[in-house]
Amino acid sequence: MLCVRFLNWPIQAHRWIHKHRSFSEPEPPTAGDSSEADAIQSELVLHTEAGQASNTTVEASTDHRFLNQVFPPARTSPVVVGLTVNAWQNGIRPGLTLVEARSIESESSRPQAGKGRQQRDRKTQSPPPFQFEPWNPDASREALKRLAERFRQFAPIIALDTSPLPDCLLLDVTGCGQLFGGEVPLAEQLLKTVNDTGLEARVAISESVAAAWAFTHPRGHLLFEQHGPATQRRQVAQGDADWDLPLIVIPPGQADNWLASLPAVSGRLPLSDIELLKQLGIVTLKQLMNLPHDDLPSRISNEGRLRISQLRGLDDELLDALPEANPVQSIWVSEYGVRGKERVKLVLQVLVEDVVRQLNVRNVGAIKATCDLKTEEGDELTFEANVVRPVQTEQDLLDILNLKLETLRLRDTVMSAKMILQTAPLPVRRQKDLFSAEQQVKPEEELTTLINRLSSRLSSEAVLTAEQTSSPVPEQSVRLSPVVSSEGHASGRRRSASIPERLVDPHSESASRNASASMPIRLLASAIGIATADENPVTNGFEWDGTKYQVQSYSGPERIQSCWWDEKAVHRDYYRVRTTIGASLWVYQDLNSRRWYLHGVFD
Amino acid sequence: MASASESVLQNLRAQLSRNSPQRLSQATVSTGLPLLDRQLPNQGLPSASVVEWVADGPGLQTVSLALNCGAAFMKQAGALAVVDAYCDFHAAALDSTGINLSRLLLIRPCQSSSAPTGHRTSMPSHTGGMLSSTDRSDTLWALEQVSRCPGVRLVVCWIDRLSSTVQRRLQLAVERSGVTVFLIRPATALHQPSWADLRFHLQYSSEKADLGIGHSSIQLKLVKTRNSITHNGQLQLDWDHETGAVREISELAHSGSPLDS
Repeated sequence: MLCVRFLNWPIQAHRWIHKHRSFSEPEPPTAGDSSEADAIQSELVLHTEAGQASNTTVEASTDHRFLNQVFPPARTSPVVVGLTVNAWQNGIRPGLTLVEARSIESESSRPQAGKGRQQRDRKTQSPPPFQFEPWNPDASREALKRLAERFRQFAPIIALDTSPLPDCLLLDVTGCGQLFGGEVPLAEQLLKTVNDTGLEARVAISESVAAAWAFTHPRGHLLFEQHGPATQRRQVAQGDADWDLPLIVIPPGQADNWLASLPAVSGRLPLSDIELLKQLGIVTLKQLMNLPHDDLPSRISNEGRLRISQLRGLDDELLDALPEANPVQSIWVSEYGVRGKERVKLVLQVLVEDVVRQLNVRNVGAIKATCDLKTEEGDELTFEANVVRPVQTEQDLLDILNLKLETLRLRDTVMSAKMILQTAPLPVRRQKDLFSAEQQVKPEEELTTLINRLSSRLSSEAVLTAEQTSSPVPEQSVRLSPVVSSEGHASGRRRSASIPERLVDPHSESASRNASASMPIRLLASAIGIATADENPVTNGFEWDGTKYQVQSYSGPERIQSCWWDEKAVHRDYYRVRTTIGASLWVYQDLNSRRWYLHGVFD
Repeated sequence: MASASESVLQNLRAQLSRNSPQRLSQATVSTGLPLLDRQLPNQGLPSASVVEWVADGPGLQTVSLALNCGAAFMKQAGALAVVDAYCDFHAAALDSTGINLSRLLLIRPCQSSSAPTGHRTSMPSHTGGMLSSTDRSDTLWALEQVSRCPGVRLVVCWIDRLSSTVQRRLQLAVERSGVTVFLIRPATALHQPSWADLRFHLQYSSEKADLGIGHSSIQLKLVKTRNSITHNGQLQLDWDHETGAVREISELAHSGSPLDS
């Protein structure tokens, strides 16, 4: 994952927006173009406006809420959000109210006592040293999205940072490094593109979004900067120099070692959690990641726990990819329309031929296809197909789309169809040995095709892999995850792409047959009530599915309890019963309600 | 007299097996139970085959036994695909069968977009077909897809009813792909024709019911092998609940008349 952080983004965004006042301009001017605006805005202070929070988009509201948390005075009056270095040196700080900032500005512009009239005259003729401008969070975000299009050449999946007041873009560069001669050359070229645009940025590449974000934000969110706006030309305090590099590439497997020295604020935790941790003396990421995982729920928020899991690499972070400005797409329109699935399949074939041609030209593969059908009645029918790995062939793409179409009801005449693809770099193809029998059929490739077909026809949620958890609660002891994610790919995509290899690998650590066999092979989705608190089915028998069962023997109880702070705490005594007709069943008594339930079958 | 006729039958079976066309790709793996291996053609479970495990009722550890016997297949490359028609397969129990959880591809047709929404309030009965038509259709489709895929090594699927057409398609699919399919079926399947390479029948054994707490006694019958050769070999198995270990207690005497397949 690559994180490109634009330094002191509120200021850079404001200047960039003013350079390109109309977003319809296809290519922004490059650095070196002189602009009068630059001279005027050389000392810039951006501030919120009264009543601004109520008149903005959802994202901007989130920004304002965060601002109010970090700077309480922002709740009642306009405050400074961004400022240039010189403004900082003159004593203005983010979070100062506008009135205070203006008073500092007027004090600094007041001529010194004892100076002559000449100086006063010069002062009244020169422009004010600071330019106070309203901060526009929506425009800042739009500017980031516009910039994202310039980086499409480096990675097909680009997302905006989900933190409030985002100042960075996240790129999934999995598999893209080889197109540039490695990840370092890729990052260098990206940095050069940034500089050519007239902006300053810091780039980091690491295994996860959380790590890449931390390395580009060594002092945390931009509002937490205590030593001045982040800039690469700034004189840094001793000990900080290691992280003020324009480019950081962390080798695989090394992220934890490097993260250890960063402060806890670079972990993207909520402000309340950061303050609590500070009170507990936890100020570095090393201390944060060493906290016992089981103790976390009782101390910090859900979001904080998620961020720590992401730092540890335990939880994937899906990127909400920005839609491409120029996606691979194809449109079919007809005056007469087509009716029936067979004819619609022919239309899909035409669209697929066209989009595959575009894929070949761009040398990318499709990871998601979205089809919109419009009927004669004016209804719209949309369906999607996701794949494990990028596909570039007509047959593969048509196959999964047809499977998806089979699951839909289509009664009306279809008048138009539109297909849009989400693309990704193609995986490396190894040259096959023509005469090698072993290399002709790759199990993982066959499995990938199978998974794509199953996911298309049944749904992504119907094709799952399993992972053991540490929960003692039986229904939570295994985490089932879709192989193909129907939402944004990214770190999820990398995980999906490696699953077929893992599934077919015969050398994976084999399970021990001595592992406890106390778990039934069938666990009911919902435990079925078989007796009230007054009855004891273990001794008196019970009825299930129309059959009366008498217990011949039983073992137990085995007590299973969840953690006390869990929202739905579980306290159960489990019994394995063998009935007179030989059925081995798993029943439990809920220690809260004292009722009895059938939970599993040893089938 | 009985033993003489039995030996004649065994000789005939052996001759038929020798003369039947062998599929080149059909290697066999040991079940881990020597007495059971001895009863099987080629002394083991065949790959690229369909094996039926028919249970008299729920809770007889049918699937666990099948997975224990089939664990040796997973030493080869390929995934374990479980077509979980009733959406109640508990993956956590897989480890005790000797198969790593990381090899599991779980397919739940009941969670497909075409499945009826809503929460199942009753347990689908494995003794009689309770799959809805949509679920059955999706299950059969998924079963055929995984059976065709060379990236899969072993398939486990619960299915109540199977037409001859579907069974034949399965057979052709596994011959081409090399996959082994285990079909877990209710007792009613015993009265239906079968195209499976092997058919086992599991029953509770009341004779050895006093093995003690923590043990179950299961009777395993080999009912049919390929080419409709019927068998009546039986094994008594002891199942240790604590460790999941299965051991053979005895090989029972052959009964007088074979079961119709």
